[in-house]
Amino acid sequence: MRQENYLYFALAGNNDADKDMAMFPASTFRGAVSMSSTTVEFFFAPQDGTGTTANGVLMTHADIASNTTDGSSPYGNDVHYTVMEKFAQLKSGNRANTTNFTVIKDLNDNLPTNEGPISSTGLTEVTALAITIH
Amino acid sequence: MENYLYFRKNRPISASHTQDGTQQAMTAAFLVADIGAVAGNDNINEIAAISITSADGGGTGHASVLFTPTTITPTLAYSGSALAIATGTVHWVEPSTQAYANGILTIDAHGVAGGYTLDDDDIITAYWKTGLETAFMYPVSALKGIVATSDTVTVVHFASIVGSATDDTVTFTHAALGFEKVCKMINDACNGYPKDGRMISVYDGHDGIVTSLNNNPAAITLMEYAPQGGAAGMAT
Repeated sequence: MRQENYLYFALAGNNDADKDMAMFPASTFRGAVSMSSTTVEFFFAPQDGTGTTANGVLMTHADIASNTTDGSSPYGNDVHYTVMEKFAQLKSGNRANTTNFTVIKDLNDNLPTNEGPISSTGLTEVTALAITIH
Repeated sequence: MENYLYFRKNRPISASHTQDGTQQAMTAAFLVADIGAVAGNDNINEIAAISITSADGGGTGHASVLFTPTTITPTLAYSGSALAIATGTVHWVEPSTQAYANGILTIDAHGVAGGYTLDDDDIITAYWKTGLETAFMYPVSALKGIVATSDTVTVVHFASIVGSATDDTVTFTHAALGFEKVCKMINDACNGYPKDGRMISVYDGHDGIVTSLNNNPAAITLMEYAPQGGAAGMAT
């Protein structure tokens, strides 16, 4: 039997509305692309059976302050890189004898406490999610 | 476990252009050496800030243009104060309301909120930020192949991120006969850390400095990215 991670995403609001949460097998991940200085979208194989569309999770993260006096670059900021890198680490983190339930980001404010993976809030850099399902 | 291949386009911290006329569109595009490719460099959401340095006080700023701040992004707060344009003064315009196509900025005239009427010899400076499709990563399992299309161009194919029948492509321009070195670089990125599954930075052109895996053995100078269904075609 193949061990595989399952990646969990949830918006704020207690999972009481359509697409408040989603879970995808790690093997359905297709890639990620920056959409703006504060957003990165992660793409997964769709659930409509066609394979010709994509499920998407748009993650919002902090921007970076830059100024003209110290030469720091808004293009060189690495917040999106950090989000992508941590996602890769979590996605690859499955090991024998673990649940393989992996919270990428859970924005719910009503999480169970001290119940292992389902109590995790996931990536600290991510402040908002938008889930698209096909 | 598999690795994840990360790429970031060539972009500078900033690039400047000195006007040679009075039209609102820049009289020439930013230099390719500064901003990577000019053709298709059209996303205004990559521009963090735009400053205009008045050569001789001849331009005209709308009252909503910001006057000589030090902070450029993301906390720009545009002033409602009317401007007194003086020689050598710096003014900032809101990027999102301007137009940008093929490396050329077109600034609204001062009659439009956020606009600034340019004058001869004014210096336009743009500052870049992460924008639409400027950075991306693919799992190694999405790699479909690498093809040389000339002695200086190699194209890396990935399965379409949105499920198109046509591949997403990453095109490298490099020194002559660099194909083998690009292939080895990609191979190394795919097979490094075989027990972990890490994100590997294959190519990073941020801040005008090209960095590629293994110290850029193919002497890559440019990377272009063509995802199928890009921009408005993404999942959201």
